[in-house]
Amino acid sequence: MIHVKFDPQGGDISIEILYFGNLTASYVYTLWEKNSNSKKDEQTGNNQNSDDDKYDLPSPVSENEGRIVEVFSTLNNPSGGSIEKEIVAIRLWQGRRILLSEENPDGFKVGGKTFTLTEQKIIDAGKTELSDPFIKLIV
Amino acid sequence: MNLRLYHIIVLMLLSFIPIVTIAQDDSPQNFYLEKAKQSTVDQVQLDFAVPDNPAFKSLGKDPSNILRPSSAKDLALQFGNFTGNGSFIIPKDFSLEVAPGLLLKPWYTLNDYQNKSGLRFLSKLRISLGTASDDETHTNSMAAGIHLTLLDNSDFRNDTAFLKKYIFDKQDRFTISWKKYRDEIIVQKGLTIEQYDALSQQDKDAILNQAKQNVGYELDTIISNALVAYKKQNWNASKIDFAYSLLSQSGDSLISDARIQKHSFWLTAALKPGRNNNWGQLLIGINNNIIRANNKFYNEFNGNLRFYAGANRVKGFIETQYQNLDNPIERQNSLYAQIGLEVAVLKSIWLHFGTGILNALDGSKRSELISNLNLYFSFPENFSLFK
Repeated sequence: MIHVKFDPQGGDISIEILYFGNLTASYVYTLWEKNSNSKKDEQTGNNQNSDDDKYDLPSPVSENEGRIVEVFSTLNNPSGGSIEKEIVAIRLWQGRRILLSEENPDGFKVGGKTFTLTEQKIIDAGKTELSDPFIKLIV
Repeated sequence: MNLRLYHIIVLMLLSFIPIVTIAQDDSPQNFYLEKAKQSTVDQVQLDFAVPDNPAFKSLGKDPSNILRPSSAKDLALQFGNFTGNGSFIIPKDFSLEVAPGLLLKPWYTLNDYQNKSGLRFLSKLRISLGTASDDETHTNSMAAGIHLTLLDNSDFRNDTAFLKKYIFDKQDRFTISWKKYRDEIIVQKGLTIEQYDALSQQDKDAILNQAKQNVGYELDTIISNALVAYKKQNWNASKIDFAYSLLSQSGDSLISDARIQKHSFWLTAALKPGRNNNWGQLLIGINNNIIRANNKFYNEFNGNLRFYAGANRVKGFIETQYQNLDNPIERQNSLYAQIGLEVAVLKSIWLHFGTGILNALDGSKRSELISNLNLYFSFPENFSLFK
């Protein structure tokens, strides 16, 4: 789990989910309540169309402190060929600013863009792998 | 698969090959037919390869000069001349084809791939290098080639309707179910999500595996079956490839006096004969070679028509090739016609056997029966440079 600091007095927070590579990906994005196993928000999607994979976190913004973002993704390599790489890239925005983690304040770079978190998976042909990173929101 | 098994397969096939007749005419006019015969290594050519790459093709190892359109792979190796003095030898002919765009860290999304034709073009660009040596003439050959895919209708990643119906809809349902069952197990165990994340990977895997079993079906099997059906339906989809290769030769092994001997160009279209046809494919190819002889270059033109009929893993073909040789010593037109069979004997092993008749169109030569056997090998699934 990585920790991302945000400004409780700042603008709205949003999450953007992208997949780099040729594989098919489906995901369930969950915003978990602080110290709980109940959910504040849950959305599903896939990488068929990158335009609809951005979600706003609830406001007021300050209430997101301690909440945990989870992106539960399955990555499938349907090819009959070789192993392939796929990168799950997550970007948290506050207004126009990308929120970066305490663990990696420079962010992660993919395709010339900066992300809050990326996870690269190498997937065997005909197989499905899980990517399941967690991000804790702190102030 | 080990070498012994390859040998067994090859020996079994050799027993079915017709006797090859070789013309004995030593006149200068025999130049062209000798050249064609050399291309088949006089007897039976055995390649150990993935589908055609231009560098290997320009080394001259096949009586047919068509370069078959193929899908890009991140790495492809091709070996030739497995036979020598009637026995198997370590091949000296070797070529390597890489698709640099597939070896790089992914920098584009699936959506980019589907919507940007330039990106697809770049990701399928292949570069090949090949070498060959001739023990009799002590000539070493080196070839470098570039292979471009201009059209590929068999690319399922670009087929959004197929992806949605047969992959995304199923993968979405699987993912949602898997996550739902995992969440239920977390609740049953009285864990918060933070406590779950703090578990050891082994404990997390146990929960995930249990949740996956609760889903009740295997996503990989469903997608694999969909892909098999797609390939059956689309093995003959239309494709267009262009390739260029440069061949240089040297008289010594250090390649100190290498000279450019040949420029080769190929353009091949593979066409599906009818929108719903799934049993045939027509290949139309042209190949032009500019070849050095006595410090001058002359032109060699090849036009090919090949028709495949069958299914993805077993198909027969007929082919005709017209060749115009514009060598100032001997200008000649010839026609080569062949029939053959292409069979997938194992998952990654393809056999391609052809036998045909070579005729000089001016009637100055005896007809020749020429056979060739190619063994195409694609790397086993799960092989990769970067694992």
